[in-house]
Amino acid sequence: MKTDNPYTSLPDNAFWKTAVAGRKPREITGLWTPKFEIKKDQVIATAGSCFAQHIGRALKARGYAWHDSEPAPLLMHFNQEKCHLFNYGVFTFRTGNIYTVALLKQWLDWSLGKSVLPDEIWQSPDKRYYDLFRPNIEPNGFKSAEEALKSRQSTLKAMKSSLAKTDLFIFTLGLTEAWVNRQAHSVYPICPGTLAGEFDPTQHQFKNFNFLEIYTALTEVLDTLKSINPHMRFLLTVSPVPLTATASGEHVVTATLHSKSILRAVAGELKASRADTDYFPSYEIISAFPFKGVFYAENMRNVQPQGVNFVMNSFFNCQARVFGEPIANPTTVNHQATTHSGSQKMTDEVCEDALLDAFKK
Amino acid sequence: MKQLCFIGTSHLAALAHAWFQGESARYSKFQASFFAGGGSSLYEAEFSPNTIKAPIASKLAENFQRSAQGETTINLDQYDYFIFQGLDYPIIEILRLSLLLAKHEQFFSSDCLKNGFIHHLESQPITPCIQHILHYTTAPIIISTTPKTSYLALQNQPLEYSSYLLYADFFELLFLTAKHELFNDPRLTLIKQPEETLATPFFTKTDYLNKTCFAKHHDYWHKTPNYGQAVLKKIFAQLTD
Repeated sequence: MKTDNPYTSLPDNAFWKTAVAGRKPREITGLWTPKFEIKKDQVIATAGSCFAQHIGRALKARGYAWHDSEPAPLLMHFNQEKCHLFNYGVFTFRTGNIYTVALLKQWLDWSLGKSVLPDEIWQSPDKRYYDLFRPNIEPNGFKSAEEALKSRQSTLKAMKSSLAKTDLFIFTLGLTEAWVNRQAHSVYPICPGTLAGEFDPTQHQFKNFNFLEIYTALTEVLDTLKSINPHMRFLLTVSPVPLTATASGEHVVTATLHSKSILRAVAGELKASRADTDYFPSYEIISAFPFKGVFYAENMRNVQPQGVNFVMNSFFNCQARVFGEPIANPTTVNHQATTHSGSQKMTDEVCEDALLDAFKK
Repeated sequence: MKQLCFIGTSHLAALAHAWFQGESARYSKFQASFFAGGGSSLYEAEFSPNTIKAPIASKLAENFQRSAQGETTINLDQYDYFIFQGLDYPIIEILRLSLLLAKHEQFFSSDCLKNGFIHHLESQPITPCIQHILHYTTAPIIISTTPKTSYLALQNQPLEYSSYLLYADFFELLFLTAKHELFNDPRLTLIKQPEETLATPFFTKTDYLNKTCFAKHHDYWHKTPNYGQAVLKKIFAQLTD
């Protein structure tokens, strides 16, 4: 007589045959069993590599309290394109892409005054000034070094004050490779001399962070954030976007898989060891082989909008499967639109009077 | 006889009022039509190559009919000059921005703010009309800015305007740069508010305040026919130059 074994009571999603085999990519669902509920009234911060912006945007669109620590100037509010051009409303903090954990730690340490802020600003031949720690934060750089530094200070101040009220911090891990300054030990998001700056081999050094370095740095980051707000929880994701280029000497495919494997392992390890940390598998949903690469564009690097939608729908569906449909948050009603239409009505009334007075018969 | 087409928001009312109260006699070589679309109604305008038209039964049609003696369509080839009144300076937004800057709560680069002004100007109700006329006619176009806030506002709400005064010069310069960048065409002439109407570089003399609008809505921006007279003088100086 057969006895039960540990596998007999497992759900369908634990078996390849029922969860994957014979299914079309879009039919493979339920990859995430969230550890904790994400409520609509929780203040959510998003940061990380470029894929993180999709998470922030989707949360905002669904009425979650996604936090924008540095809103665009009022003059620009109704022009999304211009806001994005100046990197407003993209990530919670106006840092630009934070590809590596080392860079996240650096921004955090700067905002908390734990390390010295470098005044490294690059002047282009046409006399525009670029902050090498977020070189494309403004489309054409700044008009002066002073402006670039003031702008960075503003971001750090906003970051510090926002973290204290953040309930959920979502970080998308992007890369293991980075360029660092040998003397200042600072980490750049992009190699100097590519988007801005000048490459100097005596100053700029390639660094491919290993598992232990990333794990240690991210643990420190999470502990620091926890010390700012003991209630804060963390959701880690790994970007499914492959490397544009590698300086590791490897083929870009093997370098990508090396990099993503380490990041995925760090995220998995932290999820397993910390009650306050979860992992959402956006990386797997886009790049795992059962999905056959259908969500990538022709260059097999960019994720197509339908892929982003599929990932974000999975995110919300998995939350709803475990915790039920979220309750609407009355505080996230579009106040801006309400105020705008209210003041428009007032303006129309005033104008009506001026016209009646001038053109009365 | 030169035909003038005035197009604008409710701020055109001060000019029209002055014109009908006797200024027309002073400029007898010119005949003027006024197409005023109050509030946001100019956004309703429909464009075809030779016309700017108010849709049937729209708010704009009602406004045009009232200001242009029953007309609801501007036939572009009937006019020698087009004059726009109603390019708004975004004072409400600037007051709030000034407060943020004064408290050092947030910093914005000058490029970013200039782009904000450009967006503001692009979104003005008169801007599509200007662009359409530039595209389909060869007529010269004059653009006059909305009058600056009344000095009375500063007297009544000094605290609200105190931060603004710290940055007013800076914002004025950015607004001017944005205007010249957006309306960069040799056929366009941007005219400033007449000097004699200003109490300070940033406020209009209280005498010019439209008392009806102020009494009913606490509105510090709509002006009297005397103000319209001063603007007309400046416009005609440009036309006869």
